Amino acid sequence: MLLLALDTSTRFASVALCSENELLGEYTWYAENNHSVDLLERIQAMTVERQLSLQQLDAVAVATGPGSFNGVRVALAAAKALAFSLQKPLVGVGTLDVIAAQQQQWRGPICAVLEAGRTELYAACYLSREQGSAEAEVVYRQQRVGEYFLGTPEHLLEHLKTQLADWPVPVSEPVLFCGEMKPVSRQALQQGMAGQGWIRDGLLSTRHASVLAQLAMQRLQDGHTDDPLLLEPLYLRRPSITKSTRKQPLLGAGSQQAIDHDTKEREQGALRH
Amino acid sequence: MLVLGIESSCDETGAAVVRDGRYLLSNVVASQIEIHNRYGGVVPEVASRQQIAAIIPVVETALAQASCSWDDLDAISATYGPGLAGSLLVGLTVGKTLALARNKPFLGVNHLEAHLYANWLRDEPAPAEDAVEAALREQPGDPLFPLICLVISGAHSEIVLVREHGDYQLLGRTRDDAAGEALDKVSRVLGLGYPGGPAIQRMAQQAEDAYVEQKKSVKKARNVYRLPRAWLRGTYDFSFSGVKTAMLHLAEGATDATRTHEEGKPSTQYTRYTRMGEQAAQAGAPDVALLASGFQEAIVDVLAVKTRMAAQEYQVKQVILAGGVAANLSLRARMRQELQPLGIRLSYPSIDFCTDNAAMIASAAFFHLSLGERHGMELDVQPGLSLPFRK
Repeated sequence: MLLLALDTSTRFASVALCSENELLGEYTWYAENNHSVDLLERIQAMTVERQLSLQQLDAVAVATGPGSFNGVRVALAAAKALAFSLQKPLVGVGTLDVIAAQQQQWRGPICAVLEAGRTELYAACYLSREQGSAEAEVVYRQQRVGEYFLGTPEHLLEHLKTQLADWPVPVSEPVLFCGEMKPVSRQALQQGMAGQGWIRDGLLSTRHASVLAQLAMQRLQDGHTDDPLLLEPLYLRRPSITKSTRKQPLLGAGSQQAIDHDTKEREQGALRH
Repeated sequence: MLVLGIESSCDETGAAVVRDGRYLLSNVVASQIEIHNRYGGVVPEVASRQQIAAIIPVVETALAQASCSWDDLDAISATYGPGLAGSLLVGLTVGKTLALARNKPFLGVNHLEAHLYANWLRDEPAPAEDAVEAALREQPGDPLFPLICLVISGAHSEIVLVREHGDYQLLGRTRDDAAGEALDKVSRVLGLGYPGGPAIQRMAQQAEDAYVEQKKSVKKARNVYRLPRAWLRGTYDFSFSGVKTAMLHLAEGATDATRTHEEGKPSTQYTRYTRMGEQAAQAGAPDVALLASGFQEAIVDVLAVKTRMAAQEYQVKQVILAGGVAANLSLRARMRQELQPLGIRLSYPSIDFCTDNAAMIASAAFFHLSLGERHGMELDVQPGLSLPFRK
């Protein structure tokens, strides 16, 4: 099976081309805000190097966020277009899932974290378990525990305490924090955990699309695919909309409609989390 | 030549299949007007979220309506600017990816240039397929070069001399608000909602119809509130912020006739409009319909007269209208009035092709592709792109 995995969720981006047991190519780079420029060029370069055509792909995997809104949308737009035009299965995997899966050998709770701006973090907790396969290979299966989280590092620590109280297995190891974090966030987590948590260093937290590919293959084996017409990013944050007083009508009857938008907004698909 | 066009520069998601830059096989647009109406304008992040949700279903529908397979397509094109970066990214990335996946030539299209090419689109069944060379030659119904194009939308108000495909000379542009922007802002002040152009046109029509019923002239309706015009003589430039502010003061004066001006002596202009507003308020509720009519007239007057003057000076055979405001019926009628006595042809796209659509993207792409132009996978969005004017 030939699978192409795309991840442009943050300023760090990664693409990988692989089969079940072989990595055929992977680019992981600092994309800053040039996701759309770099991504397709690298896909093109990778297929040329391996003398493969995109039509030979068997599946497409994509990181669905959270992360940079525009960044997430670039890989998702490309993955949806590939899966749709080549009529191949598409698998969306949460970006925090990918971050946690890179630390899958950790026996304690794993807390994957990304900067969400405004001094807040996106986060989710994971439990990883090893299993033996029929071929005597060790396989890790990852399970998310609880809901996705958005809030300050302080709130995350409180949230963690309740998560750990309900942990599916006895907690014997410390929590491992991993992901892209600013020094301020690291410091807050470090102080708050008071020795009961470890923080993975930045270099080993870098996301690799080959890990995304591995998760996607597991999901394909489990019979799970996404519809390229329907798959959307996991934003976790609503768009920020400021109400301008200048935008209030002075005359006419349209004013009610323009002012009272809060309730309708919640029902609106465009604003879903 | 069959081209798939993709448009996602702002709040509309579009895909279309067009033959030879003129004949429509399909044209699909998913609009977000309902959503943005509630905020009185487009919220960029909301628009981007709608784009990523709508884009693939829109492309699928366009291909299905054209009964077109991937093998039938000769090229793929998408808007790369100007517009909102987040929205542009979605359509451009999808366009490039489809071209890469299906091994087709790709071309990024300038959205503004595409608005001009909406004048090449027609509602006729496609004739037997032409050779590319023949399709490039002028065909009956094509606009005649040299021509003057009035580009008028929510972001642009420009008079452009077009001598040939791709040869653009800027004659004049707005110094502040674009015509569509002024219409949107005033519509908001009047409580008519977004987008402003159609809302103001509708209200103005009401006022004018009422006058005609009372056996009074349309002209009279348009001059109840006679708003100022910035002529900027000796140039082809426009300015719409003055008339917009005058309108704002009128509305304020009418809303609060007893309002005192706290910062010393009010300007004469301000006093004048406040007084007009007071009078209107005393006479009863301010007549929003008449205000809309007066405002639309002030905008149309300047646009039509300056465009006609440019057409005369450069002795063109034809004037074309492009952009969202080209859908305005009052502007179309007034342009016809100005140009007919001079024997200058006027054309404008059908209403559907004045607003953002993907058919015009495919049309513009056709003319560039025919000249051998292509873009690589490295093409990036350019939110601030303008027409490629000659220096």
